[in-house]
Amino acid sequence: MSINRMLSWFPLAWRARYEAEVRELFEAHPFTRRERRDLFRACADAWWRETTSWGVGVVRFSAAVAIRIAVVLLLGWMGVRGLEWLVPNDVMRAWWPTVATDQWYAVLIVCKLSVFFVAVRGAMNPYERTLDPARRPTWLQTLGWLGTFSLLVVCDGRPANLPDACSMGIFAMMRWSPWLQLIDHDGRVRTTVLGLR
Amino acid sequence: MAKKLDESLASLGRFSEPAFNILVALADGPKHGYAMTQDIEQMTGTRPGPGTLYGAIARLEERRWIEPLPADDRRRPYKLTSAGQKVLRARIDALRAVTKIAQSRLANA
Repeated sequence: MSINRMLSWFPLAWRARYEAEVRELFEAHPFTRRERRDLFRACADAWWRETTSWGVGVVRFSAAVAIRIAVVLLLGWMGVRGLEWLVPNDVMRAWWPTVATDQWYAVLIVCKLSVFFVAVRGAMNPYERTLDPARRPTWLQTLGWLGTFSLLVVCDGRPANLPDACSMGIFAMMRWSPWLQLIDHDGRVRTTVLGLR
Repeated sequence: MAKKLDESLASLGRFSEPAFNILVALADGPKHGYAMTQDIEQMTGTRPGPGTLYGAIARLEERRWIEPLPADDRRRPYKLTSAGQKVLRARIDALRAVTKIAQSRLANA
C-alpha cells in the first residue's frame, strides 16, 4: 500500500495539520515495513484522539470505513457487470422514439463512462479532494452530475441501477465528506450542516 | 513539583518515551520532524516511526510543552516552551535519582 493511500485513512484534521510533514519524512528515506505498521497504529490513534466522545468517534470511524467498503463493492460490481452495465437497455426506444437509437446509445455510453471515471477518480482518494476546497466539485459540477444521473435513470430503462446510484453516492461523498467528518478544512470542528463553498 | 511534572510526562502512556526523546532533541534549539528523527536515532540507536513521532508531537503540542514555528516550505520546526523545559528537567532529575540508586546497588553487589 502506498504512503498516499495510507495517509488518506487519517482523519481530515490530522491530515490538514501533519500530512505534509509526514510525507516529507517518507521522502527522506525508504518506507520500511516497521514504519508501515507504525503508521497504521498512528492512524487508529489519530481517530481515537480526534473524537470528542466515544459515540461520535464510533459513528465517524464507521462512516469512513463504510464509505470505503461501498466504494470497493461498487467498483467490483461495475467490473463484474462490464458491458452489460455499460450498454443501455432497449426499453429506452419507447421513451425516445423519434431519435436514432445509435445516437442515444452513444450519448448514454459516454455518460456511463463518465460515471465510471468519476467513481474511480473519487475512489482513489476521496478525502484528498476535500482537503483543498478548490478541488471539491462545485455546485455547477454537482448540478451537471445530477443531470447526467437523471438522464441515465430515465433513458436506461432499468428501474434499479445500483452501480449508477453508488457512483452518485461517491460523488456526493466527494462533495460532502467534510460534513461526514464534521471537521472544517482548518481542522476546527464544524457547527454548520454542510461544507458548501 | 518536579515529581508532579515527571508524572505528567508519564501520563502520555506509550508515547512518554518518544515524547521524552523529542524534548531532549529540542533542548538545543528548534528542529523539524526529520532533524528530530535523525537526532533521536543518533541518541538512542533507534529511529522513531513517523506515526509514533507525530503521535508524540501532537500530544506535546496539546500540552504546550512544544510549539510549532512558521513552516519553511513543508518543514515545520518545533521549539521547546518554558513549560516543556520544566517537564524535561523534572524527568532528568527523576532519571538521575534512579541512576544513582542503581549505581550504588551495583557497587554494593
